[in-house]
Amino acid sequence: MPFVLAMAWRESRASLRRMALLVASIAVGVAALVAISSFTDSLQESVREQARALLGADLALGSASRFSPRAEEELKKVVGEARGTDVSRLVRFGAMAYVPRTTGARLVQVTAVEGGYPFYGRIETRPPGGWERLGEAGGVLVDPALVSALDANVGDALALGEARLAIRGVVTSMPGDVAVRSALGPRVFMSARDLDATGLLTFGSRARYEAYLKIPAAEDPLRLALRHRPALAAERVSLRTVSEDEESLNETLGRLGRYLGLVALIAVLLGGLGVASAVHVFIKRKIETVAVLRCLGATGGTVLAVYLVQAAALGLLGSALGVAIGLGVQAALPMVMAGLLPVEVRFAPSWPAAAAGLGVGLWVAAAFALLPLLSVRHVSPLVVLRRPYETDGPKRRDPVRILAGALLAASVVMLAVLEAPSRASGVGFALGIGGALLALWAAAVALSLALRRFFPSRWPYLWRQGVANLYRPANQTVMVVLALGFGAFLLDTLFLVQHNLLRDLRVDAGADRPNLVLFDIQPDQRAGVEAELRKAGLPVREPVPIVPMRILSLKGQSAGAFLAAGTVPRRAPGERRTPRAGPNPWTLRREYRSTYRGALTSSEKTIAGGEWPPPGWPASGGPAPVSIEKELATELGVHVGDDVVWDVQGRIVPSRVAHLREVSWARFEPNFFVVFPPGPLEGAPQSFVTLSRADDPQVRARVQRRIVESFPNVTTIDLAQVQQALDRIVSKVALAIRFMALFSLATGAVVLVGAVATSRYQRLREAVLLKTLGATRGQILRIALAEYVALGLLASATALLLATGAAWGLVRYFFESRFSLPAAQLSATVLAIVALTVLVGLWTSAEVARKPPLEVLRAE
Amino acid sequence: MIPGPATTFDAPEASVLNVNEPMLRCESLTQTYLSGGRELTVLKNITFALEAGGFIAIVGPSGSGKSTLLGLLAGLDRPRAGRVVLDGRDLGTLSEDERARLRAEKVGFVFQSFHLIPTLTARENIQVPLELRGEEAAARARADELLARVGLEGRGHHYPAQLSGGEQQRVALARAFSHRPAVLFADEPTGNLDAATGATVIGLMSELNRELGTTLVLVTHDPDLAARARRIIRLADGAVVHDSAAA
Repeated sequence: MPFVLAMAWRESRASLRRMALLVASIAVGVAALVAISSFTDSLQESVREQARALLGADLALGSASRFSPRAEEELKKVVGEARGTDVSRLVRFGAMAYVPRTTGARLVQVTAVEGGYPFYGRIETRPPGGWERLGEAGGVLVDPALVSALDANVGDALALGEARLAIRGVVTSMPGDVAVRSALGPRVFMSARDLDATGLLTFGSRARYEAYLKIPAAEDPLRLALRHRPALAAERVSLRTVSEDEESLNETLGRLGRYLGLVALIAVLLGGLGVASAVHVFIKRKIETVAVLRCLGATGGTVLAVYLVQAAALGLLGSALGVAIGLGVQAALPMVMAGLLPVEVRFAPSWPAAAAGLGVGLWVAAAFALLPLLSVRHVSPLVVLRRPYETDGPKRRDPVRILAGALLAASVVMLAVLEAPSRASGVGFALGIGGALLALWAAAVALSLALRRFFPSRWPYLWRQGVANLYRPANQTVMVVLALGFGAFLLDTLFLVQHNLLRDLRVDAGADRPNLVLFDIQPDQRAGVEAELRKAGLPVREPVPIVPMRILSLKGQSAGAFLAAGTVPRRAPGERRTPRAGPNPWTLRREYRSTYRGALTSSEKTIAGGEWPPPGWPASGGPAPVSIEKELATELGVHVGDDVVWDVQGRIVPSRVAHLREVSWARFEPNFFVVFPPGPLEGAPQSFVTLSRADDPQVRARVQRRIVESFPNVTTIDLAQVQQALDRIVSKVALAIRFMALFSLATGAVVLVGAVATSRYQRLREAVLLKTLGATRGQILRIALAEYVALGLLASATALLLATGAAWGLVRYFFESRFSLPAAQLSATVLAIVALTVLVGLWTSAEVARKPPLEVLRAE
Repeated sequence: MIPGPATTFDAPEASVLNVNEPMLRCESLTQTYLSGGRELTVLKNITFALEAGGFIAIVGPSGSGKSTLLGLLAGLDRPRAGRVVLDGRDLGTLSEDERARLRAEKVGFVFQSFHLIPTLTARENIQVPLELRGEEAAARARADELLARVGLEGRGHHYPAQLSGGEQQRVALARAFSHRPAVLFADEPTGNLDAATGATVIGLMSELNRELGTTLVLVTHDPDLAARARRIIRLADGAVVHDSAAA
C-alpha cells in the first residue's frame, strides 16, 4: 500500500495539467449539486427563522365568504379559551382603481385591515411609519407598481369603488412577499373602516375573509388548532398554524430542491463520463510506464491501485473545487430567484451539503475511472521490449469488468434514489439515463457500421477522409456522441417541456378573440355597460349570467360532514399522507360561480351523458340536470346519475349529474365548472360577465376608465396586460430553470473537449503524416471539419429524437397536457450544438495543423 | 572467447532436485505470434541452462528472436511450448501476478531505451523495485548508495528528461541492481549510446555484476560487447545456430 500511495503521488505531480479535464468534469457537476442543496438548506433554515413572520400571526382563519354565525361562535370560543388573544381581521378582494387626476384604470388586489396585523414581522413603507397609520381611515398604502401604472404620486386620491382615498405611501417590503404575486394586480392596503364607503362588497363579488390571531405565549396554537379545526372546517373556514405552514412550505421547497438536485445530478453524471474519457486518454499514454512497472515486478492489482488512487485524488480535488464554486454560485442564486421566494435568504454555506458534494464527487470519479482503468491489468510487460503484435484485446468475459460495470450502474441508481424526491422516481430517473445512453451508444455504433457499409466513395477526398475517421481504429465516435448527445438530450428535453407547459399559459389572442372582459355586472347595470361599449365602438356580446353557489351535499352526504371528517386524520410528522377517501376538500369549500345555458360553447366537448341539455327534461321531472367539467367530476368523485345539492344564496337547489364536459381552459371564453340548463336558476340572484375586443391598447384603457367611473363595482380586465404579467412570471421561472441547465451544458462542453481529446494523439500522428505527404493546413482542417460536422449532427439529431420522446412522455402523462414541437427553435438548437462540436473540434485540430511535422515525429 | 565453466548443465534431463540446479534453464522453448492472421514462428525449440553467477550473451541479427527469448526467460510472456525455470521455479506454473512477484524478488532489467518512468525522479526510479517489495526505508539508503556508485550523486532529484542518455542508462543500472537481483536481463544496453558512454555503462554493469554475483543475460548484436560474456548463444531465424558452451 505505501508503494501505491507513493507512486500515485509521484505520478500525479506530473499529470495534474493533463488531468485538468478530469478535475473540471467533476468540479462543474459537484458545483451544481452543492449550490442547489446548500441553497435549499439555507432556504429551509430561513423558512424556519421567518415562519411566524410569514403567517404574521399564531393562527390564521380564512374563508371564501363571510364567516357564518357558527364560524364566528367558534372563533369566540378560541379567543375565550386562550385569554388575552389578539384578533385582527382582513378582507381581500379584487377591484378597479384609478387616480382621478390621471388617465387609465387598473385591476388591484385590495386588502382591508382591521386590528394589529401583522403580529409578527414588519411591513416597511415609504415614507416610513405608514403601516402604523393604516388604521386611520381615509388613506391607503399601495404597491410601487400601482404608482407607476397609474402615473400617481403619494398624496393623490385613489378612486376605489365609490370611495376616494389618499395614497399615503408605498409598501417597500413585507414578510412572505413573493414579488411575482403582485404581477397580476398591484396591491392596495386600506383600513377596514373605509370598506363600506367603497360599496364594493356587493352581491356576487369575490372576497376572502380572514382572521389573524395572536395567542398568548402560554397557549399552544397547534393544540387549539386541532381542537377547533373540525367545527371550523364544517363552516368552510380553514385554519393555519405557523408550525404546519412551515412544515408544508419546507416540504415543498425540499421537493423543489430535490428536482433541481436531479438536474444537478445529471451534470455530475456527465462529469463521470468526462472522467471516463479523461482516464481513457491518460491510460493510453501510460502504457509504457505500466509495462516498466510490470517488468520491475508490480502486479496488475498494484498498478491498478496506483492509477485508481490517482483518479480518486484528482476526483477529490475536483470535488473540493466544485464545492468552492458551488458555494459561490449559491451566493448568486438569490439574485436569480429574486421575486420567486417567500423568504429572505441569508447566504449560509451548508456544511452537510458541502460534505455530500465532496463524497459524491469522489465516488463518481472513482466509479467512472475504474472501468477504463481495468485495462492496465492487461498491459503486457513485453511492451518494453518491442511494439506489441496484434493482441486479442481485453478478454471479453473478464469478471472484474462485469463487476465494475455493475458497480457503476448501482452507483448511478443509488445516487439517483438518494437525490430524487421518491425511490420510484429515482429508479425511473436512473433507468431513463441508462436508456438514453444506450440509445446514443446504439446510434453511434450504427453510424460507424453504416458508414463502413455504405461509404460515400464518390465524395471529394477531404470529406471522405474526415468521414472515414468516424469508423477507423481509435475513432472517437462513441465517446463524442455519448457525451455531446447526452448534454444535448438534457437541454432539448428541458426546452421542450418548458415550451409545452408555457404554451398553455399563453392566452389565445387571435385577431377575432376577445381581449377585454367585464364581470360583476349587476342586472340593472347591463344596459348601461352595453351602451358604454357601443359608444366606444366596441362589439357587444350577449352577457353570460353567473350564479354563486356552494355544495350542500354530495350523493346524500353533507359537505360539512365531509369537511369536518377530512381534518381528523392529520398525519403524524414524517408519515405519508394516506390516500384520500371521498372528495378533495377544496371542491367542497369553494364557491362555485356557475351559469345556465342551453348549448355547449366552442371550447367544450361532451365526455359523457349525451346531448346538453338532456332533451327529456323538464318534462321528465326530478332534480335539475347539471353538466360538470370532467376534472372537477374526478376530484368530486361523481359520475353521471349522482346527486348534488346546491346552496344558492340560501336557497336549496337539488341537482343530478347528467353530463360531463371537457373544457379547453386556454381558450378565452367564459368557461365554467358547473353548467345548469336554462330555467331553475333564472330567478336566483346573479351577476353578468361579458366579453369584448379592442385592438388599440389606448382604446381599451379608455373604456376601462369610463366603465369604472360609471360602474365602480364592475371589473374590467385587459387580457394583454394579464399576458404580460404572466410572461414576466414565466420568464423569471424559466431563468431559474435555465440557470440549472447551464451547469449541464458547461459539463457537456468539458466532456466534449475530453472526448475530442481521446483521439487527439491518433489524429496528431495522422495529420503529421499527411503533412509530410504534402497536405496543407487548410486541407487538414477541412478533414477535421467534415468529421466534426458529421459527429455533431449525429449526436444532436439522436439527442433531439430522444428528447422529443422523453418530453412527449413527460408532457402527456406527467403534466397531462398537449404536446407540440416548435420546429424552428429546435432546428436552431441542433445547429448550435453542431457549431459547438465543430468549434471545439477545430480548436483542438488547429494545434495539430500548426505544428511542424518534424517536431511531432521526433516526439514520438 | 572465454570457455564456459565445467559446471554448465545444458542437458534437458538435469533434475530440479540437483544441488547444482542452474539459475536459469529453458527447455524446448517455442514461440509463435499471430501476424495479419498468419501464425509466425519466432523461436524454435531453444534449450540451454545457465548457472548462478554466469554471464551469457545472446547474439544474432535483428528479427532473429533475441528479444522474444529475453522476454520469455524473464517471464514477461508465456511460450507457445517448452518451459523456463528461473531459480528453481517453473514460470509456466505461475500466474501473471506470481511471475511479477518473482521478478520483484529476483530479476533486474536494463533496456536499450532505458525505460525510466518519466514522471519519477532519478532517485524515485531507483527506489521502485525495493518499494514494490515493501522495503521503503531501505529504498532511500540504497538509492543514495547506488546514485553515488553510478556517479550521479546530487542528480537524484532530476527527471529522466533532464538527464543525458548515458546518465539515464546509469540510473537504469542503479534501478536494476537496487534490489540485488539474482538475474539481470540486459537488452541492447548500449544500443542508444555513443561508443564512449556505452563503454562506461558496460564497465559499470560488469563491476556491479562482479560485486553482487548476479547472473547476467545480455542481448546484443554488438560483437565487442558479446565478447565480454563467458558464453555466447547465437540465434538465427528463431533457432540456436551456435552455443559457445557446446562448442
